[in-house]
Amino acid sequence: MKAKEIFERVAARAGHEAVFALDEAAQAEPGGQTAPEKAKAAEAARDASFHARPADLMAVMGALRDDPELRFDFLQNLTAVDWIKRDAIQVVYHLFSYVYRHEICVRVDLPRATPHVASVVSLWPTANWHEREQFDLLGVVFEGHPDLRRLLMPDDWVGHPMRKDFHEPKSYRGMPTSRPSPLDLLVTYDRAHVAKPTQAASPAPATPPPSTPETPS
Amino acid sequence: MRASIVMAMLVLGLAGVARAQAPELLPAIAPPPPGEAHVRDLRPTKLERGDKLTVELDTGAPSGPVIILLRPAAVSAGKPEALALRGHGLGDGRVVTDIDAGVEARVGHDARWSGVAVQVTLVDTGKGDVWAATGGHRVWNSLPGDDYQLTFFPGSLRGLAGELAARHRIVIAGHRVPPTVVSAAVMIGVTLLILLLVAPLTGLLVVWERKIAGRMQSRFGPNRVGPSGWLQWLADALKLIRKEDLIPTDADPMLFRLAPYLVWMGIFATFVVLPLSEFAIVADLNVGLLYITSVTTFTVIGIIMGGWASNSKWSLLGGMRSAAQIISYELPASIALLSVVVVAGTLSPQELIRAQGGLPVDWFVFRSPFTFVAFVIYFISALAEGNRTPFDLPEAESELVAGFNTEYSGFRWSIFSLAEWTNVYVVGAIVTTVFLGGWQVPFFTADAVAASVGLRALSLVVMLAKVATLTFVIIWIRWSLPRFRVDQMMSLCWKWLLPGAFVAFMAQAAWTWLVATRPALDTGMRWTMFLVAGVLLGLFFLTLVVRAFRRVRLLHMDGRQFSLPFFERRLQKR
Amino acid sequence: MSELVLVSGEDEMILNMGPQHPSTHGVIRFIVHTDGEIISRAEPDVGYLHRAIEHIAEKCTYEGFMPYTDRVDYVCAMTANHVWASAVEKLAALPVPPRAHHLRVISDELNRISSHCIALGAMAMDLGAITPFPYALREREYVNDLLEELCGARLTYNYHRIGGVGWDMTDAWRDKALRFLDHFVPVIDEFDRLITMNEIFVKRLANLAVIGGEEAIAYGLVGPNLRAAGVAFDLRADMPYATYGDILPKIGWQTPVGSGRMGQTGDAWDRFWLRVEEWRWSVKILREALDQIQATPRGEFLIAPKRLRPKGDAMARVEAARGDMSCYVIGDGAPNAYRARFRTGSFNAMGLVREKSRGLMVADLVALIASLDIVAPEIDR
Repeated sequence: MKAKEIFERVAARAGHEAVFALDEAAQAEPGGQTAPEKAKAAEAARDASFHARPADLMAVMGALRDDPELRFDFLQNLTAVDWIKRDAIQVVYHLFSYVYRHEICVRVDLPRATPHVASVVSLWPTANWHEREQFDLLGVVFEGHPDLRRLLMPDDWVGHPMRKDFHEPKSYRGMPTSRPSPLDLLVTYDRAHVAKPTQAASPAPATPPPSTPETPS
Repeated sequence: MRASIVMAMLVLGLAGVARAQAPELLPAIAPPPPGEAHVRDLRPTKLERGDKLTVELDTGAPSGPVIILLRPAAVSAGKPEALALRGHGLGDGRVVTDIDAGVEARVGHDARWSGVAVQVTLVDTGKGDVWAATGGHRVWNSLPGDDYQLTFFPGSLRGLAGELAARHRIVIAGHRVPPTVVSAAVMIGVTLLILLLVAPLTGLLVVWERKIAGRMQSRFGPNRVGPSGWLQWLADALKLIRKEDLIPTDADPMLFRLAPYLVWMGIFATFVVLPLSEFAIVADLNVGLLYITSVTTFTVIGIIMGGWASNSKWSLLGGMRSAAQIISYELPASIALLSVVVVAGTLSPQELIRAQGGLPVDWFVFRSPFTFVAFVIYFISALAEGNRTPFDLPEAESELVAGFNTEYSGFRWSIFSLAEWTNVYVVGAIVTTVFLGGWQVPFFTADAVAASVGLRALSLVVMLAKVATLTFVIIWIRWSLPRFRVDQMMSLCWKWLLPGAFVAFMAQAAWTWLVATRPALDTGMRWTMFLVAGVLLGLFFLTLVVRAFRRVRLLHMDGRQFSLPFFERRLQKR
Repeated sequence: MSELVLVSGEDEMILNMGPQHPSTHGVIRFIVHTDGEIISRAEPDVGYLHRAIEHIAEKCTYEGFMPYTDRVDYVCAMTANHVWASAVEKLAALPVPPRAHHLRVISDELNRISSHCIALGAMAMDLGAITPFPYALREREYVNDLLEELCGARLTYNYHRIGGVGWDMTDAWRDKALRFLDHFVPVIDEFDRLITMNEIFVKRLANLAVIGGEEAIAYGLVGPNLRAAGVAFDLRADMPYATYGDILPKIGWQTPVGSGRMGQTGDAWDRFWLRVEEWRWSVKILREALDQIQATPRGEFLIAPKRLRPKGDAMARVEAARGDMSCYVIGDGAPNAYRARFRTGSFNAMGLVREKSRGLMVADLVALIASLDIVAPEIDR
């Protein structure tokens, strides 16, 4: 099914205000003899997407999954993207249908201060861990998720690491999060076997130290 | 330090056990020197079956077990040349025996008894089994070169010790060391020697297993330490002894330390009754099999102790699993062994072997389909008791790290491992003894083997060869099969092996009764079983193996690296 | 680390199958509540191998990020390379020479063979049969030698490039590869005789953790796990990329599907068996690819893009050894990506373990994880 038809069907089912901004970028290009070219052409046709309103997300997703002509039964990917310049976090859902072998991509824009959106776990159980990960790394709160807690980071971690304004804390539980560069700790020995730490580590002035006379070892 | 105390206790325990059959000991009287001595009195002079014969000697008499040889003055047809009866030296100059008690040994045959013997001449009065005895004949110690040699070589460690003690007077500070102490000291010494020999043998077994495992996995096993890697066990032993002695903080200190030795003791104590050859057995207990089954239960105690004392959930789970497994599989194992005991009528290892023959058709495994089933059941149960794959749940690496072994390291862990690997040998030895004819040399009777030095040595080789083959099979099974889950293992034991063992036992008992008076039927069944279960099955198995070898097109493995250089060589040939 | 409140029932024991464990699936931790031998709950605790690869993608250039993709799944690194290259090429609409596509297919399939060597060998080893693991590893050594000759590395290959591949293959290498394939086919049969059809092995795995088709799709299982559940979907056949569209029809491709031969469709034995079947199909694909590559001009294996600063977003999917791996990349005109997201098969499979492990025994939990072919780097990235 083409993206436009999918879009229209969803709009019919979930309401015409629920979905908007269909982007049928890269329509299928005919031509290309070999499999790679055909594959490329085929791929280019599928990267279509449309936006959905966060408030109507469950209706849209329900329509996508349950409509007998759509049957998107596989939530292929769930990504959250931090558009700091737009002050928004966009959650991108890639859906695939094993029944009809078509794909679609749904985007939801959320305000960056309160990125709350409905959880689709009840529709696709696979979203459980995906949503936990996006919560962990970007701070998106999925309402209705049965067990929304951190997945990859430690439970007492502060902050959401994949956000563009995230700064790593100086230490975690007493362990420093940075260490001196090995190059700064490098110690070289001159021919008199006198140790000279590198200038970056030593508090010596910028002038090079005077060379020591050679002494027989 | 504690280890050596425990070891000493163990050895004494062994020595005590080895004397388990000894009758009560009276204060020793110096045994007579070899040569002539006189029978002073002999009562009654008319002997019938059931009578008790008492012989009084005038130059000191032995105490302890004694053979009384009754030699008729004239040999008549149908009567044996001489009879040897088990007697008892009372230590006050008398020896007694029951005329009917244990008339089972023929002259020159009974290798289990040693020590002094009394010869009494009998006169046949011609009235059935009635003899008249006359006195005045020799008392002698069995030494090589005598007319009637009861033993050429001491048949057991206990006999050897008794003989040495009897022959040599040891005086310390004017007091003679009692022969019992001397014989106990000899036994302890020999036992320690055996232990010192057994440990490297177990080590060699360990290296052999790793080499077999390597070969089965298309790689070499250990091949660095020593000639072709055969000293790997020494390197491992030395390393483990030197490792840090780690005991978890919350572990029970006494139990944690004791557990490995209990497990080890349970396995090593079985060596007392394992025959190595016709002559080499520490103690041929007349309750040998029962002894084995009971003493191996020490391992259960040790494993539970180790699992509990480690204060770790993994160890606890492993210990529990293992205890359940070993206890469950004891039942089919014991009952399977009973099926064979029914045939032989004895629990003693040497007797069991003697009841078989050298040729495979005479082995108990082919005696009837029921003993064959018993063999299979016993083999499987013994694998389970030894925690060997496919029953190595308690040590399942991928699940429980190492089960009850988890918290053990260094020397203590090596004791556990030593016990497990030694158990492989023990299982092989028991199966060989009970089912596969033991040390019996093909085409020779047991008597002939006992009589000849060369054949006795050959019997050692035969026994070891059979045990080695079984060990190889056990190792082969370990490295080929996955392991059972705990419920599958339990249901195998209780639903299949135990009923099978019962059926085999009862059927074998019925069969034995049936063929007691029909030897032709017995021979027929033996040959049928040998041809079907032995020859045919063996050939079928062999063809499977050969076919598997032929089907696999392994790249040529000759010790060189098998990757790029091989490809280069093959390409160049094109 | 996880600070879950560990509340147990009355007689429950809490076992920690901790990050260090002899099962060879990487650093994953399970907190297992058991009642004796039966598990009431097995809670996975992941994150021990989180290396922030997606975050690093925002710092590296597109070309420079390629070695990091190896670490997304170091057991089957070529496919991770491939998915990143495909995503960026789609994003920037870059051309790729056909020889490069063939080389990608060849390296992917070789890596699939070696990845399944690990998967199947480790699974057998987890169940106690130690011998199949060295058998499989020996075959993997041959593949590693081939790939080392091709691209210089044995595990993390960094072979694919944006716009092609890194190095070309020689005729000598092609002969070696064909010779390996001739050697490998009877080895698969030997492996089958050794372990796949072994009675004890079948008894351990048959009817274990049956995952039906619908449940598999709902939980997002992909790849061999999905096909074993009965869903005949393989990205190579149904959404062909690279040169699979030319290769698969020539070899008579039929998507292998779990048949429930030893138990039920979708049990652990089916998942094991399906990977053995994938071995066989990979050999056929490789032979055909090595044949078809002869028609492509030698030396044209890379069209290196100049000034790669794409804008937009693209999603690429390839059939990795653990299933359909997808990469969603967003570019905003800078030399480095704005967001990269890798969705891997093991991640989805891991989400299933908590549900499926209820009522299993501890030994079965190990078998379940092994049958789903879960590797830690794919989960944590």
